[in-house]
Amino acid sequence: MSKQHVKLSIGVVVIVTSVAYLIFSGATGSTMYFLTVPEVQQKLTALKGEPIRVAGKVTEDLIDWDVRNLSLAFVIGDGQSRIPVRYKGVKPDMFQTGVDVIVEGRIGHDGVLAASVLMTSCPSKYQEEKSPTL
Amino acid sequence: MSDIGGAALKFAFVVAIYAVIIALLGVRLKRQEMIRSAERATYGVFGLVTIAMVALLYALLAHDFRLQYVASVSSRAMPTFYVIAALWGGQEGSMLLWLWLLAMYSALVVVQNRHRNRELMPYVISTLMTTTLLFLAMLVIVEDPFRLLPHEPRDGQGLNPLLQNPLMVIHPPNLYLGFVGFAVPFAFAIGALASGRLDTQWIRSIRRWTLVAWLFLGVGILLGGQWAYVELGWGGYWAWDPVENASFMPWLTGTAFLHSVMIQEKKGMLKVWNMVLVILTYALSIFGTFLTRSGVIASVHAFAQSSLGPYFLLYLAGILVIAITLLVKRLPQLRSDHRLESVVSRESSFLFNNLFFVGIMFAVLWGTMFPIISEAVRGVKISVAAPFFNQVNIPLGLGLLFLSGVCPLIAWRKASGRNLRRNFLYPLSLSFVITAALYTLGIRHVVALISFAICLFVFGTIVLEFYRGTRARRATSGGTIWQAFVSLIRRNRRRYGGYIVHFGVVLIFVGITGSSAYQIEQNVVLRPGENARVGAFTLQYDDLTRMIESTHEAFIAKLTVGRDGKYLTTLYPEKRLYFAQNQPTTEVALRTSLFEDLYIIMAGFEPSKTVTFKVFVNPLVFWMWMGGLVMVMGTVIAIWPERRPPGPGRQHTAGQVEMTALQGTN
Repeated sequence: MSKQHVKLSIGVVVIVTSVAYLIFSGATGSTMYFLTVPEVQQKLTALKGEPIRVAGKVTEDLIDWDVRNLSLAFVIGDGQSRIPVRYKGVKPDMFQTGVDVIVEGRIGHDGVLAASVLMTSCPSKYQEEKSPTL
Repeated sequence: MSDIGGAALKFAFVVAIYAVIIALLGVRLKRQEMIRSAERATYGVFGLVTIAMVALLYALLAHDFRLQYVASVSSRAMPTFYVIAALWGGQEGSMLLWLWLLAMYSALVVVQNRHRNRELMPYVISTLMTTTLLFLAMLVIVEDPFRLLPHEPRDGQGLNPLLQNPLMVIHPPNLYLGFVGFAVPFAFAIGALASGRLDTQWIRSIRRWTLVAWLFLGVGILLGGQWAYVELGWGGYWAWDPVENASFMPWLTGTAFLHSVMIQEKKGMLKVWNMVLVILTYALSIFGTFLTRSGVIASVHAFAQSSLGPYFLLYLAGILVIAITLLVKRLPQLRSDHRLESVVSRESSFLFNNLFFVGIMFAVLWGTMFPIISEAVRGVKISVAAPFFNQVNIPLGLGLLFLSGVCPLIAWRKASGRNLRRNFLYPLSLSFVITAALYTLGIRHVVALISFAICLFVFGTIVLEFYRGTRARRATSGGTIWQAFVSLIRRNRRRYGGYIVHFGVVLIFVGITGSSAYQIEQNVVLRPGENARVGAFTLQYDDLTRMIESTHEAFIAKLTVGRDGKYLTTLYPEKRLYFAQNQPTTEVALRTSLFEDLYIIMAGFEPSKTVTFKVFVNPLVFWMWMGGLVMVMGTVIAIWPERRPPGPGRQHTAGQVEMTALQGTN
């Protein structure tokens, strides 16, 4: 191998390792468990304070929407399991009883999941479920 | 009509199978008329799929709610414009559109190559028709758009109001034109590999196809971002959602290919790498379609919980196995004509740029698939959030941006110190001086400063190139500066179109940097008559009114906006409730200007008319949309056929000659 090829290989190796390093360090820094509601209930004590992402359905329980403070309190469920959630932010348009949501946040000492992210599934592009009709 | 549509699809299925078999048989038996027959079958498939499209469109316009599809995506009250758009507003219809575009591209490829690439064509046809078969099979067996309901409902459910936006009407076709378009380069790659005609001819034949697909995909991505920005009301345009990532990945590898293919054309290097990129780009297009259609990964966007997954995976595995087998078989014929001579040269800077593109693609893929990978490996689903993507991609993206300034100017083979000084001294000085000025003006965000510095550097290199080119042009042919400038671009559309695209990229980076580093977000609770201050703006809340429209009820707030003590504009953020779907929507009030967007949504209101507003000030977002337009312009210039008549000593492909001839008659 000529001197130039050694240099070139060093260049390639540097780029590839830095990409790998960025992916690795990024992945360890911003990961969170992606769980279902029953899984969260099983491991509730272990998960307290950990960043988690939970998928569930908005239950029939009372939805409290505090307009002034932009605080939305509701319950997500899956089967028999339930988790109370308090989300700080704007209520998404698609949010209502029965929709699938994904929330991200931490469970506090009061057992309430303080969410910083609330995603409702949809603009129902390819969704198969029927939207409620009048 | 629905019977005709369904029958047309089934018939097309048979014809497509025939086309695949007869094309391959024609090669084996060396019978040209068999290959011609496969070509006619390709037209036939296009014709039949067109009939199915027309049938579905007719059913939509006639409000034929016996069809399940029509009933689920349209309603009588919907404006005709959106009824037509509902053709691709649901799973089945959008797949039919995908298929139709593919059939159209296939027919165009056949027309274009009647007299060229004859050895490749049988393979090209069978590859394209196999893809057509995949979609036909899914439409005939799983997602029949012509499925009938047991009872005809009186009215349909209508399209989700969030999708009733002109941007959302043109966004999907653009994306599909991009996704589908990459099937053509892939088919030619397979053709070249299978036939062994591995010279640069096939590369030349797909250059425009690749650019067109790449352009549509890019435009589709930007339109999607713009739709999210103006419609969804969270103040942003990109969230690293799996669906977004699905469209971004093939764009990245496609962009890498557009660059590295130049090295193959000019130097006969990177042949295997280019093959891999073409295959990868197409595989990622299919993978992206699979991601969005199968529901394997949770996303903000609705993923269908459909049973299409296995079809896509089977097809994906099939094409990868075939492509890789062929590639391995042809490896000895794909050896480079030259070797890299220096690290500081154009060849290696292109190689590095490719590594960056593929690196970003891999990071995005990794982040998107992480929940599935971690579940398979460790038994727990772990997801990575937006910070991961930003953390990884910001440095890589900036590195890439820097290379976009270096690559086009650095010398081939080995750059001398003189070459480097000549090309980069002024741009670097410009970047240094203005960045220092920005620093003294109070911009202290480190990443933003780095980004602006690189943007300025790249901008400097582009300006310098245009300046030198124009000056040289004027020295040889005279005329005004403007004439010289235009003729410079005309004589080398590909090169200067490319610079214009790079300029667009710079604008997009400026927009992304400004809006992510300096976004202001504030909640404001106001009673009528009260006012608040956000950034440099004052907002005076005047009143809340209620309106009843035919499809919805609206609550509209009136805000008088001032800036620096002067009246600026009046904005009307809105909350709507659509009757048919019982669906509330938030209408964003937006005031765009060159330097910042004022973006207001009504988060909620009380009977007392007290309203909570969420206000964003998003700097430089406008630059992003402008950058998109500039990129389109540059790409069109690069695609546009050369005007010069074929002269001695210049190789012209048949297409260029045809185009030139056509223009001559105008």
